[in-house]
Amino acid sequence: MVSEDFRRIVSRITSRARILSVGAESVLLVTKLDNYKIILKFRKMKPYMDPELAKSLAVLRTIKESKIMTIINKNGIPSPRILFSLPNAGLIGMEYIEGHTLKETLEQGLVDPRTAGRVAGEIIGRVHSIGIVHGDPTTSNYIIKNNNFYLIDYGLSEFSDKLEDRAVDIHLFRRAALATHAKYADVLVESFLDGYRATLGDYADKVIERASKLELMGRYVAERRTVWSRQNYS
Amino acid sequence: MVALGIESTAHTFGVGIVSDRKPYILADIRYKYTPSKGGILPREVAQYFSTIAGRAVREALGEAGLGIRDLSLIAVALGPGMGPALRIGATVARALSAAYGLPLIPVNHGIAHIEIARFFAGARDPVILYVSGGTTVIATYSYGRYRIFGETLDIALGNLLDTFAREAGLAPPYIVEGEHVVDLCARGGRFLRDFPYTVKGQDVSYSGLLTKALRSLAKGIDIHDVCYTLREIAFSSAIEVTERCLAHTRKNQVVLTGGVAANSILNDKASRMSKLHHAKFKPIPRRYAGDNGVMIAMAGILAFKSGLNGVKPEDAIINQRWRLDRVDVPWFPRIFGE
Repeated sequence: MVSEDFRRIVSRITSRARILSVGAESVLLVTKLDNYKIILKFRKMKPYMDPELAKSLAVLRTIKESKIMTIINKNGIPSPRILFSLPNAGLIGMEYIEGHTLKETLEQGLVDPRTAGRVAGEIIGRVHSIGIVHGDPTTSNYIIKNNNFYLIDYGLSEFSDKLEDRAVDIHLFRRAALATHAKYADVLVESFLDGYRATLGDYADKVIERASKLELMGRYVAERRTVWSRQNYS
Repeated sequence: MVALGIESTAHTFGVGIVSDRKPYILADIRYKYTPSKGGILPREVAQYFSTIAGRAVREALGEAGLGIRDLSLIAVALGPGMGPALRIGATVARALSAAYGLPLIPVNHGIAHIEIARFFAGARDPVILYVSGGTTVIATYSYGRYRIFGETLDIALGNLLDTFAREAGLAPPYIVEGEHVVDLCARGGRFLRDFPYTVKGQDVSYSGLLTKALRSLAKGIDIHDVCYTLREIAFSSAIEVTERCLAHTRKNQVVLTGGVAANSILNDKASRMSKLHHAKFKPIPRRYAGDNGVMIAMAGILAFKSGLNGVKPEDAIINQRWRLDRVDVPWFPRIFGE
């Protein structure tokens, strides 16, 4: 197949799709395949990057995401099922879960932060238990449909069983919660950690402990340099 | 209302005089410490500041054509920054406040950078990319404060560029004819594969990139290519996290602030990224990207007008690690000048 043919096939697949959302990573399109609605996740080359950097990020991220989704599906973690992947076009086809993001649902008060946090934490625990870290577990990346939670967007996920990388997921959820749901962030985060513990048991506390150290890695946190505290006063 | 703002967190001792009415900026005096070689030593900066501080205040009043009795308040950056440098600004501010009975308003340096960017860009509720020698932060307002969405996990963007330039023998001086030496060197450079592009969720990391760049130089790889790749990856990853914040919060304005915000390539990337999301982006004047006293005075007026009466001189204590997400901003969504 010459690349012209390849482009034609890709454009056939995407031609009748409509845009669902434009994210930071990709454009999500919805199209129909035999009356079955599917999502086309299309990684556009970022126009603000060097073309070679943009292309290599798009291809590599598509390959990795496809692999990870396959394993997530195989382990029965609630997520969209992957249907196909065309890395050179930056394209992944997957099941469409027609629901609302956890972020919207929380903002509209349609879900109790305590329940939501717990389920979100349980799911991340299951992801970690199979050697994967999500990489971007914000409340925008959970979809709720018929009261079921689904974790989406494995675009930044990695294969890892390192404590440090798992701690990054916990840290990211906590900070996203503080940044976007400040009003009830405490409850949300607390129950997230409970859910995480429920899945991973005692090991969870090690991850959570490391996550609090990560928060201190940010610049200018007073606690980081307790030795200097005396100099804080002029 | 007229405020005098004092900035002394890093290499610039700045005194700005600002009115809450047009033409807003009445005086803007800056003295920048430039080491003849190597990096900045806090003690040397403080030594230099102490010799020019009095002159800077006098010159600012002269430029504004005002006497000290015409001022309504003194604003001072109490952190974050280098302790010895901060102490000079704090001492001058405390003295002026005590001697003339003027309210003394403590200002967080990062908040001041955000407020001057909101002012110049006319951006009410933007996603903020704040990049300087010591800071790389992606922040946005939520529930009473600017919240940090992402940041560097190790070194700051400005520090990355400066350290590389110094180690590669390109600097000092770091800025030549308004451009960073890494930018000048990157001209005509090609993209090199296998340099680490590290974005972890909402955070960036630059230390691996710095190591890789220096090792490549040692191996004899073309310095123009190394500079181009280093800058391309560093800027792209910071802009990518800004993009994530924009997509996550669905806000529709973007601003750049901090010393590295004067960089035209970074502004170009921010502009292209904003267009993708139909967000408004307006670069701020180069002159006001870096540290200055004007932004401190602006933030001081915003705080004072929102009911903060100031602190006693003896309570104006510096804080080297004062995070901007620890500061309440009750004036939000007001922009300076409103």
